Amino acid sequence: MSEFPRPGSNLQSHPPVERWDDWVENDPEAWPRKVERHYRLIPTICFNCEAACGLLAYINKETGQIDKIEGNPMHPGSRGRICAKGPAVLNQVHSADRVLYPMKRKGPRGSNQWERTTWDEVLETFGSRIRKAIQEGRGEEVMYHVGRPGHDGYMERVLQGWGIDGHNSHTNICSASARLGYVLWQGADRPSPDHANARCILLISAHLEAGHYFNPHAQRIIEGKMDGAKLIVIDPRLSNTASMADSWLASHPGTETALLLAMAKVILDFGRFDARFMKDWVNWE
Amino acid sequence: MRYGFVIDNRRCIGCHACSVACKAENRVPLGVYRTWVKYVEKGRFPNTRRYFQVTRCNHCEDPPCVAICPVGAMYQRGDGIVDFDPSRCIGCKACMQACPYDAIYVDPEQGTAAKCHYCAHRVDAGMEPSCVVVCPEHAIVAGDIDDPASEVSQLLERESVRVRRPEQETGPKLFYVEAEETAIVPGAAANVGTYMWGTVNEQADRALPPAGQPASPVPALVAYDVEHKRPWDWQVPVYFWTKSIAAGILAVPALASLALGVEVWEHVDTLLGFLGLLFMAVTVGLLVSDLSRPERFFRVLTNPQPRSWLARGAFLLVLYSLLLAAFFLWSWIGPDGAASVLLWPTVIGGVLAAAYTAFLFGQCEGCDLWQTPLLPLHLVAQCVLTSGAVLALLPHSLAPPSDLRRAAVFGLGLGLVLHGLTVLGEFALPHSTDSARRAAALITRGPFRIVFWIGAIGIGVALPAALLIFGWCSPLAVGFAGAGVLAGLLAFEWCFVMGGQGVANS
Repeated sequence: MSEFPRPGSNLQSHPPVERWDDWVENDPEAWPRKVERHYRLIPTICFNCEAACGLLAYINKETGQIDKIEGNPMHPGSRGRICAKGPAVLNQVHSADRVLYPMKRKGPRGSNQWERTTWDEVLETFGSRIRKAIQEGRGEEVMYHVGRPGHDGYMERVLQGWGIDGHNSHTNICSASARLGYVLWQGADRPSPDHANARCILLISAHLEAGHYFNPHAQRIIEGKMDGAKLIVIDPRLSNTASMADSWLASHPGTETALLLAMAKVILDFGRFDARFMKDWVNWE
Repeated sequence: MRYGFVIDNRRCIGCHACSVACKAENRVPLGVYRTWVKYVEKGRFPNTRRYFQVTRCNHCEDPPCVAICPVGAMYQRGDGIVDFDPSRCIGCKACMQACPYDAIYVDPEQGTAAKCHYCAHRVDAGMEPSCVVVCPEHAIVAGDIDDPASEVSQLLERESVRVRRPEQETGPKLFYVEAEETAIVPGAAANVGTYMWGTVNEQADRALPPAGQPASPVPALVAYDVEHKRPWDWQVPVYFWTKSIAAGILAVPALASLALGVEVWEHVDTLLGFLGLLFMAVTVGLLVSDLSRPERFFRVLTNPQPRSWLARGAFLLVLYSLLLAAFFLWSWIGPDGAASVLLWPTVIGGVLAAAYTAFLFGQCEGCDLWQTPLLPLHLVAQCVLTSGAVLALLPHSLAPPSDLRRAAVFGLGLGLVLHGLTVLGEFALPHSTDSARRAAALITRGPFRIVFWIGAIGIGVALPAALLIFGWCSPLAVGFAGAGVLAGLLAFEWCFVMGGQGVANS
């Protein structure tokens, strides 16, 4: 597959792969004058959430700058379609507030005075201070805090090598609890269910239009729904997802566990489960 | 070939990816949108849900924005796409008034009109519009509605669809599958301007709940919409007023000569010609200053789009100005009474200059209140009214005082009767559309009610009528009546122009 025609249409959804090295478009700002712009299309990955959808960066050959970002049609998860955060990556790249160099605080803490420094100085400073702390038995003073741990396993091993329990990220207050549950239950912390072929989909505060994984999952959830799947949503608030549900249960925040246990009890008490499947596939006696 | 959209609300999850992709593709500045997702929340907890409606230009079969554009900046392509050329646009905002869908904005950086153009620059390179490509759910489908094999045609054949505001008869080529009534009909959901992420609509009159509508059994609230500022500002109602004075300046003197045999105009012809030219200059100044690209104003004359009443009106204003200038010069330089040959041609030119605006406002299909068939008559009546008022305010030393007063009372009386009856017709007769009724309600019962009842009706009609009936032979009463008429008419223009734009179209 290297071309992306839309069935029954003379228009294509994405540029054919053969032309990604020199893709020509009409400049939208000069339009209706036809001014050609030449682009090199570079596949890349969106990291505005961990779904990691495929992106195509349109590099203007004249300026060397990214002019826009679209979905990468060759990406098996996102299939060329992306959420609002995808095209908005452009704002992050070109943001006037983007920090382009390592910066060092100049004045007193909180004075918001900074000066540019070098990566060498950063590594020098941090390396020597971490080493000193470890040597003096103050390892608990070292904490590694990262917005989103996307380097699976590496930093955990480094910190373990130092003998330090200092890994911290926003995941602690975000998806950690859900992912622990997934790991204990099915051995993978980020499952990707076969929504497209499901007959019933249950979402518990998981969303079609917001949060992690939404784009690849939402594509397939709606596909499943168009094929007749029932969508059940448990969500304290009227989300877009709740709006798309066949059934919406507005739980009180924090009562979801009790709700799930109650559902499990009813399923067990009334024998509403496939005993054979449970025996064959999850060793459940 | 006719390009169109099908938007499938069974699939749309309201994620705004289309809005953002469009912004990135077309470099749309902050605060304006070529496409946006309107949210409506309906029902009472727990039986409630949110509805999403991707909202944008409908690429109408018969696009009113194209008809009204004075310089051909908005145009329809052979493939049905309604495109625009910012390099031609003068920023008159008439297209925004013509669009019954709130789809057009003025680019805050360029000062020129813009809207969804179906990514024509991509289509011509064989690519789908940006919103179609980005949509995670393939809820936006683009294609040729004339080709039975296209996905849009097949959806149209299989599904029941709706368009926005079919009563406007513009032939929208954007079709919604499973449209939600309270989202697709403007005003069907309460719109208080405070949305999920903040208050965006500072225009209190636009936020008025649908007036006099039976309360919906299921409550509905607009949870997100984008702000649509009133396109025309104070210059336009003031232009109505100054143009009435300029266009009617010779009307009552001419009529008085015809009907009463009072030749008052001969004494004040030069003065009236001068006043007419003065008010005409102010009128043109107001029109140019309301353009967002005022330096391009001359293009209305050098590059006119013949179907546009704005362009036609510009030529009528030029014609009348020339007639008036000739009348003024001839009455000033020529022998006494020589300007009489120019009197009636100038009056007729004034009628044209006055009445054309009614046809321009008729092309403003986004403002249903202005669609009244009484408007041409009303604008001529306003000329008679202002002309009478000008005579009433002229110093009595300029002409035989009784003649002057007779002419003034005649003009004021005739004008008040005509003006009063047309206002009655415009506001008291049943309105043809809900939107017109709501605009009228904004004026008579909404935020404009004080200016309307006290200013336009009280000071502008009732007080002068009473003064004329009870003190018609008193010069002071006639003078006050003239002043009241002028002040009241300005109040009326204010209500009619500002209130007429007050009903949201999305």
